[in-house]
Formats: sequence, C-alpha cells, structure tokens
Amino acid sequence: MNFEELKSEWEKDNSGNLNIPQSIEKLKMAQHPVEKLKRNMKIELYPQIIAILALAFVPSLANFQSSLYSFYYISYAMMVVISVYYLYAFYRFYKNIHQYAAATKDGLLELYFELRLNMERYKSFGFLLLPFGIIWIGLYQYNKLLLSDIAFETLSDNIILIVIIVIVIFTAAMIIAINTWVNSFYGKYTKQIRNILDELKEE
Amino acid sequence: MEPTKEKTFLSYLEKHKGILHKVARMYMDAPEDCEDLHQEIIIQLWKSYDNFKGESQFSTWMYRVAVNTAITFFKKERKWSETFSEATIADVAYEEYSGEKDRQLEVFYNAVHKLNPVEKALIFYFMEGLSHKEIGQHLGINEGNARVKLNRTKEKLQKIIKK
Repeated sequence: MNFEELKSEWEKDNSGNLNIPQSIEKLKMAQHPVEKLKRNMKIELYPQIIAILALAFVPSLANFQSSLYSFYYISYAMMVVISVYYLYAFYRFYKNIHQYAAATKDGLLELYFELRLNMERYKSFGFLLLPFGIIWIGLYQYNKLLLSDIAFETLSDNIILIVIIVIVIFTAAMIIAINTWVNSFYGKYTKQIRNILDELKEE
Repeated sequence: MEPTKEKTFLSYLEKHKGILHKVARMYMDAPEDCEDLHQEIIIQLWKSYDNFKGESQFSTWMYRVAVNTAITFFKKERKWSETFSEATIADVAYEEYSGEKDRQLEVFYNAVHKLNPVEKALIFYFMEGLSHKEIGQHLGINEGNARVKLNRTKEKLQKIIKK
C-alpha cells in the first residue's frame, strides 16, 4: 500500500453522511466511561448523605438509654467529619477528572493516577466506616441488654468468644466486599488505561 | 447557555467535521458505534470549548480532544449475534456509501481496526499530514519515539493488508 496515494483518497474522505446537530441540546447523554463513572458517583452521593443524616436519629429510634447517647454521638461526630472529608475529595475528583485537551500521555497519566487514588479513597473510606458500624451494633446490643436488665459481666466467655469470631468474619467479609466492589467499578477501565500508557512508553 | 458561543462552536464543527468522521471510522467499525463516538466527541469538544483560547487553530485543538476521547472510549462488549449482524450491516453500509473508487480506503480502514488505540492515533496524525514533532506533541511523547512508533505501525499496517 502506497501511503502517499492513500493520503489523496483520505483528503477526499471528508465527512461521509455525518450531520452536525443544530444545537447542543439535541445530543444524547454522554456514554464515555468517565462520564458514566461521574454519573454513578452523583447517583451515589444522595443516598450517602441521606444515610449520614438518618444515622443521627438511631439512638431515639432504637430507644437508647440516656447513658449511651454520649458514646453514640461522639462516634457519630467523628464519622461525620471523616465522611465530609471523603465526600469532598470525591467531589473534587468528580469536578476535575480528565482533561481532554491535554497531550494524550499527560492526560492519561493524570486520569490513571486520579482513578487509582479514588479507588484507594473508596477503600479507605469503607474500611474507616467499619469500626463505627461495629461500635454502633455493639451499642445497640448493649442497649438491649440494659433494657432486659442483663449485666454485660454476666455474659459467658463462650458468648464473648462467639461475638469476637463474628466480628472478625464480618470485618473480613466487608474488606473482601469493598475490594470487589471498587475493582468491579473501576478495575477494568483503569487496566485499559494502563495498557494504553504502556503502549506510549519510550522505546 | 450563550447562543452566539454555541453557534460559533457548531460552525467550527461543521467546517471540520471531516476530523470527526475520520477519527470515528478509525476507532469504530459498526455504524452505531461510529455514531456514538461522533456524539461523544462533540460532547467533549463542547465541554472543553471554554479552554480553547484560539491560540492554536481549531482543527489542532480538535485533533487532541477527538483522539483523546476516542482512545478512552472503549467499545462496549457485544454478544456474538449482535456483532455478527452489525458487522454485516456495516459492510453493506460502507459498500453503498463508498463504491469502487474508495476501495483502497476501505481496505485501509479495515486494517486500521486491527491496530491498538495508540497505533490508530499515530496513523491518524500521519494521514492528516502532521510532522513527527507534532505527532509527538499531541501524544505527549518525544519526536524520536513518535518516529519509531509510527514507522513500526506503518509496517504493521502493511503486513495486515498483505495477509
């Protein structure tokens, strides 16, 4: 194949049957993987905020003893601060991700590291929430003991051992679930970008 | 939305729609995928339009946005039956559109579909008449690397065509 001959054919191949829309509004919703990712993040944000707000009412809804309120709200306040930090980080990622007008390698490198960073952010956010979940479940159970007039000290060693084993299994299962979820959400796309970056390596 | 800004943007696009058409044909084989990519590139061009300062030509800026969008717009996986029917439709559509005179170009596009996304970008810029230095600048690699990669890709393309 002679590339020079081909170039003249290429120049003639101007637009096929391509029609430019009359207005931007007539365009369909963006389907680019990054845009889909952003849409998913936006959809996730609302339930996250609602869940954080709803957790504030748990003590009154679960009839917590007044002595447990302070324990609950101290941990709740910590969880809110951590969540605000992470949600703000997700928002910044959402706003700044992928500059299409940059040189390809620079844009892809930034996108790749942003995606990797966000993957780790999601994981660490999930891992950080785990102890809070366990503390709150513990407080809920302890409250039930108090309501039933059972002293914690009267629980047998076997029950304590079972609780510890359940917590360990629950934590391990959550770690696996968080990793699987994040990898299924970002993994494939991040790997594809990594492959393109490998193709752009210096020779 | 400012109507003048949108109008200017769309008139630029109309003038340079050949870039859209060629990038989409290089990166996608099925007509539906080509159409999706056209739309996607237009959306990304519009979103990035505020960053276009007019220091470079619109076409130069458009090259980057179009290629960067195409490179990261990974084609959705299709079922076998879907792939089969769309490939058949695509063959017929391009046959009707191009006729005999574009046969060489059609062979070229079919061979290009077997290249990886970076190789497609290299060939696209080469066909658009960009120098090694310019290709390197667009891809973010040095001139020498652009030259080596382009030569390798041209050889690969020749081999694919000869098969």
